[in-house]
Amino acid sequence: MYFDRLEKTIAAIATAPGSSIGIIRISGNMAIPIAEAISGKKDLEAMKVQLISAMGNDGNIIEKCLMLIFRAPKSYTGEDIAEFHVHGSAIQARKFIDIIIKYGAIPALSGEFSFRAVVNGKMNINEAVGLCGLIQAQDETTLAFSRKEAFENRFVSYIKEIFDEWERLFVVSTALLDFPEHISDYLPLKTTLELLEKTNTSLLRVLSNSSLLRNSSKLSIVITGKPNVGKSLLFNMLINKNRAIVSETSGTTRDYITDHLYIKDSAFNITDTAGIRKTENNIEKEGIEKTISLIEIGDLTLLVLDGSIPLDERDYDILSKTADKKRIIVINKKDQGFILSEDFEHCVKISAKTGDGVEDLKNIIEKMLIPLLPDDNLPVFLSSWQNETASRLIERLAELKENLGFGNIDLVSFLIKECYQLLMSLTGKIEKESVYEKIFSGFCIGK
Amino acid sequence: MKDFDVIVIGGGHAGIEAGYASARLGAKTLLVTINIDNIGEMSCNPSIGGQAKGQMVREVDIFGGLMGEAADFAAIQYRTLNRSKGPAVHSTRAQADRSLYKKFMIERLLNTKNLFVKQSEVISLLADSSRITGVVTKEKEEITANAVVITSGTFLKGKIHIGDIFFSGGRLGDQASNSLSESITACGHNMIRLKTGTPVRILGSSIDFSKIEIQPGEENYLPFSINTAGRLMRQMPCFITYTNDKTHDIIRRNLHLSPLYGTNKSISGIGPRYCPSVEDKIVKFSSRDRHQIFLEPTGWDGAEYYPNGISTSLPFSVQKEFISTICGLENCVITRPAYAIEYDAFDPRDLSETLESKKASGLFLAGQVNGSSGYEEAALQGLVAGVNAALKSMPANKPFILKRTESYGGVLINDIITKGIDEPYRMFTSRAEFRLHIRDDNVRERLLEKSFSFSLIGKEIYLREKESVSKKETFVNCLKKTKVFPSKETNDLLFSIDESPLSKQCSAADLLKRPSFTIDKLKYFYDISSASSEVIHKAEIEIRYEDFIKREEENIEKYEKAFSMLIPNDFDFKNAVGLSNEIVEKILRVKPENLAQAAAIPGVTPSAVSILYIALKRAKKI
Repeated sequence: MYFDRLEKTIAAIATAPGSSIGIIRISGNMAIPIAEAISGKKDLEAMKVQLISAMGNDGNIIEKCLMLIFRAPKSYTGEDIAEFHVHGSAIQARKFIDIIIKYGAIPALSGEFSFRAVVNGKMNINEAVGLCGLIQAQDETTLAFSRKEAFENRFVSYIKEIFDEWERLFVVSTALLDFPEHISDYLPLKTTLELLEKTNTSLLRVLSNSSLLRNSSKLSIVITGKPNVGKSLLFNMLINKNRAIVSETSGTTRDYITDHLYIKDSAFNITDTAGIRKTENNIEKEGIEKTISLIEIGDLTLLVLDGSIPLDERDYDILSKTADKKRIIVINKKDQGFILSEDFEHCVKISAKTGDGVEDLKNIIEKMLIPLLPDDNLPVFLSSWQNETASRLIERLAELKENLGFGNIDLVSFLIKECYQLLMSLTGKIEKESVYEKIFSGFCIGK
Repeated sequence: MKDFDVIVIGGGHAGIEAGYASARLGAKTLLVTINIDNIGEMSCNPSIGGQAKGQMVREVDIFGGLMGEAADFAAIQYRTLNRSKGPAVHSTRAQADRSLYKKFMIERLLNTKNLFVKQSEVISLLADSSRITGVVTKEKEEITANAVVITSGTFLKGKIHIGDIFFSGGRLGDQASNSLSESITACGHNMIRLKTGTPVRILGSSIDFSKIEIQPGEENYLPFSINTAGRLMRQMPCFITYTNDKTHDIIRRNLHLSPLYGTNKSISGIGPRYCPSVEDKIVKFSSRDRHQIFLEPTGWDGAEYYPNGISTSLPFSVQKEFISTICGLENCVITRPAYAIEYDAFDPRDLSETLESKKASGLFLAGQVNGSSGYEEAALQGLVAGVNAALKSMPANKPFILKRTESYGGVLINDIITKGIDEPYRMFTSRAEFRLHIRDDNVRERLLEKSFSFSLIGKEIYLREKESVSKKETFVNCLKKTKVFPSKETNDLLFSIDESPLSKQCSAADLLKRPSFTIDKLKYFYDISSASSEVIHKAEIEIRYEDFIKREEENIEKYEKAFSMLIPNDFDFKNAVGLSNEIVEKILRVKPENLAQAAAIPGVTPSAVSILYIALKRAKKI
């Protein structure tokens, strides 16, 4: 569908709704004529910011705004582009788009500007995939990884050695068939098997790193403990906001609240829950049930104990309930003097009131969640297309392995070629229409 | 009224097929050759077929061509190459008796209706603006025709080199054709100078066969032609020997005398990399301590042998010296010297897929003059050019074009006319994207219908061959319908023949898809005794490769769909905004007819193809 629209001029609001400035972008043959009509100016100069009075289709001035012109091929898409920076009410921006569409542009599809940039040779497909992640990134981790894929094309260098070996294998398998009298009769079976294994392992590592990255923004920490041990106070302290209501009355928190906990470049979801105790109150009961299920699905539990009083059966109950979970025992109320003597694994003593020990807690949280974070030194696949291609390649590798050693070099070389080509598309060396479509439908509008 | 519908210039492997195909289609055809006695001469190796080439011979054959029949008639030995590498890449090769091969061709051409053979030399073309109207012979005879097919092989300004000696010649013993090139250039074609070479010939009785390895023929072979019924009762063996240190020393010491490496580099033409001279091998692969030589008899009489692997252009005295160091050849007598030959060819990018010139209507070129190498490559081009030249004189016929998805012929023509050539072009299986589909065993399935629709084969043969295809299909269907159940008995049987057990019901065909499963194992599950070995062999390939071919076919479909878009003659590449000048130049050089051809041009990037695609779509709408 992207290809069929290439002769059309596309327009979209490039900024998120509610931003203080709305950027409207038009790309295509009509971009400059439309800009001329809206601004009422002729011979528009490229790369120059101009203040204009924008006219609607009826000739009335609807906005005073900034206008920027880029002429092909010196633009993001490689086509003529006009940009308007309008005042940031969502309605104003949409009105503006309506006017542009009346002049003959069509609303851009998701990722269409970047699609055109690739078609016009402005960037390669792996950069585009990285860029896609960059634009969609909600958290620092994804952002950092996307940036690397977009600007360093990391998978290519990661797979370089293996790719070269495949190239060689492909050449050898071809030569075996084309020059039967001049090449020894067999594929080097051992090195071929080793290469299959190596490729398989490398792909699996990238795939698992990619899935760690996808899940990293969903990693969740659950704060639990009996009522009135200072869970909400700790929650507020950790997120650095006053989100949870704090009071001396036990059972204040009945529903759970979730927010982001930022540690270095990573963002985690952190949830403050209702204290677990026996209660006849139906609402509180429901809250407690919810707490238990949150602990179940959470990646890390912060079990808060009151260090100023002896542990009671409720503490032991929660301790045993969370025994098989990844957890940190947080002994609170350091400021009130400790009487607790029990020793726990992954234990930290803090005062949620003064903030004493909270940094230590953050360090332990980070240490315990690191194995669940993507490895910074490994590339990631950001698009589902890459993930699918890698998975298909893994299937083909297994098929190839199954066929090795039966003297059917015809099939083996066919499979080697298939694997090699899949590897090529993963490194962005083949650009096919279907691949384009899959990648770019994952893009957000306006970029 | 023209004297002829078609004139074919040349009586080599391309000329024969061009003239024969044209005449069979009913066009009044004249074949002009410098020497009738040398029609169908095997100027280099005495064999037909081989890797990818065997498949091409079968393609020529299914289109009613002569090469396969002649090779079967003259065959003295058959081998199936790549036998150990899976049936999808088998290729047939035959050693041939040179004189029988020629005899077959000469007799057939002289006795074909509508075909007239004339011994003369064409010295120029007759043209009327951008249209070819006939030829002028050495005797100053002007003969008019609607179409002219040039199949000049190595004869255009042929120059033979033996060491520092060189002289004019189209082949050792035949005169060159020294003036026709100018006429072709005058039509607007660009001349390129190529070279090739051939080794010495050795007197059979002077070879000591007792010291060298024998390579016998194979009993179990499939003749090339669908019209060949018999099998050889006996075969002539080939022999294998090797070069050694002494050989290499002599060649190294005398490199300065080579017209390729010497101080006086008199050969400027470009030679084929895959068929290097022995001096090339020794310079480029200096770490190898020996090189293989096949000694191939050039006839039933065993009078002369062709030593495959040591073509050279070193002086004759050096040839004698180094050959006598080779095991078995110590006391050999050389009957004909090795030589290199330089000749004029023309950039094939000026041709369309019918092999007609884009510069001069009615002019066709085929074979080595297009920069190809090899008898089989020449024959296929000759056939395509001959058919299309004949069609020029017939009312409203669609052109005869081979697709690269269905034949090696298509790959060959498509490659040379789009990519051009930078060395003599030889076919390899790897040049075909769809190798599992275009095989040695399924030429009927691929091309029978096309051949019949162009009247290249008669109805009788068509029906006979169709029948053979359906026999195989029936057998395949039976295997697919035969169910095998995962009973204890079955699984015990599978265990006893080293096969993993079944967990669910499958067909006999499914079992055959296992890489480890052989026809011998199949016998336990299905009675194959009623089917012929040919049917079994073909069915096995079809079943075993079915899934892979399906995958390949999916690619074929995608390929054809995306790339079949035509580029109009008057298409203005300025419309393709974003194409660099460099790429536009490359495209303009070839003038591709469709997007696939444009994509195949070296240096045309995938993004450029996308841009072109868009521009074409846009142009269509206007």
